[in-house]
Amino acid sequence: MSKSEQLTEDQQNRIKATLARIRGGLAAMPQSPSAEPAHIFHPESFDVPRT
Amino acid sequence: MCQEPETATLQAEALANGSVTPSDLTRRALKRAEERADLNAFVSLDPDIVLEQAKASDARRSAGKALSLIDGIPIAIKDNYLTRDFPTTACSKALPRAATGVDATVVANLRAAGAIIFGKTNMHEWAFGATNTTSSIGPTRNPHNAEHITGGSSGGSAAAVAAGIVGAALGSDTGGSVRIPSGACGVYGFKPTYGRASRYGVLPLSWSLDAPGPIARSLDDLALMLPYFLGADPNDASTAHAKPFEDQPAPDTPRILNLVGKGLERSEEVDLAVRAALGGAKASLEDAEIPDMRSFFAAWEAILHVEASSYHEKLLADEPAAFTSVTRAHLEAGRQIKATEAIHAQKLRARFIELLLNDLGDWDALALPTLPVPAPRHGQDRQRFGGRDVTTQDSMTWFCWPGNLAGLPCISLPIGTSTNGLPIGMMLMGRPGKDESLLSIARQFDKGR
Repeated sequence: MSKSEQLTEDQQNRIKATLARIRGGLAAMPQSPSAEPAHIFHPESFDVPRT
Repeated sequence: MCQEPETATLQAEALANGSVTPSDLTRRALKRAEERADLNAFVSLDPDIVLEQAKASDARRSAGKALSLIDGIPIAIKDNYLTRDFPTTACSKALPRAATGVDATVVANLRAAGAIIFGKTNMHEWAFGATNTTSSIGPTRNPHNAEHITGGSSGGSAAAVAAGIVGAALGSDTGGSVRIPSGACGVYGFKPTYGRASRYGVLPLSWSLDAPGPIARSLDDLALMLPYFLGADPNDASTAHAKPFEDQPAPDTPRILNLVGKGLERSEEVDLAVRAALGGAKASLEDAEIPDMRSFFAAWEAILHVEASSYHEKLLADEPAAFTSVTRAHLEAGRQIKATEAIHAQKLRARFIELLLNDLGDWDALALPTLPVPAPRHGQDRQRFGGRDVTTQDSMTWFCWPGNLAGLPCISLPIGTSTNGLPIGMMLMGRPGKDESLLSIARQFDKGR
């Protein structure tokens, strides 16, 4: 686990800005608990011999 | 100014009629690479390895046993594709400069067809950035003006094609990394539908956003290359239902939506160039807006950061200094995104796909500029356009991330030149699985070469 104290001030500011942007954007568009995520899953796709 | 060298398609014709040999083409490409070493387009290029492949192709051609139309054509490879004879480093200092002995599926397909695997191209470190200014070997330079960036992350591939070193090259695209440098360097780039092209052997940035794709000098070149990308690969489960390349005609009068509105601003000269390009074709054209761009962008950014942090988790823990400062900050940010936030992002992704494919109606292509501004200068950290003031990094992915979030096929084609002499590109996005149809639609807007 990398330690936050090893990060420079610039890195910490970048992390804060990235997380604020992501969280702000997600929070602005709440979704229903029952909304389906984009996670279509095809188990048969894995049932093939590998080369 | 760049010379106007041969396209891959013209190279194929010349090889077929015997007016050049694979060794001629390869020596010419090596000479051109040396002449344009200032572009810093290549991270690995070994003339002995390349000429040996050409010699083998010469023998096949002279015996009338060419393996395909592309037998003997030099094709450059982005440094995140595994190649059995060249090192693969993703232009990171973390990976050893030694060949892995393994080819990515697309590289193996090209090699089996006799293509000359012509060295590895410079890229943004680990593909985690769209400027191509962060790399173990330094930035790439734009062939149209070396004071300007190429964009990225496949900047070396686009520079090599634009400079006429090779007729075609490979890129990968997570938020525009094939299209961005294609637009900035005035060449053609194609990102296939997610799941139609094998990612096997391409070092991942974000598994559910990544797509390999070609960069070339014409639409015919893209059509020549795409068969080696599209189709099922047992080593990549996402391609289980992928169809091989098959020509699809464009609709007689395709319905094109020109996407505009908040979050899709662009400079006036870019807007005018796109409208002029769209206006010159036989198509039904209307403007359309996408709401909530800020939230959908956050979904793309969350998925990108979470998946990249997962892939790099061990290296980040063991050797954080192996990453450049900005890349490490991205990865650390990804580690701090909660699982519930990542699922929220995936819910927004589903909503975004539904919005594009259903709410916007029965369109054939969505049109956007490839970039909101022409290629920025090296060292220019921010871009101002359409009332916005954003980082150069954000300006590069400005229009491209929607194609990855929705997994749509996308093409970038050159449509003009800016007042400062740099290329302007237009992007078209197609419906999923309609890659070939998108290519046919793009022909209506191509000024041609």
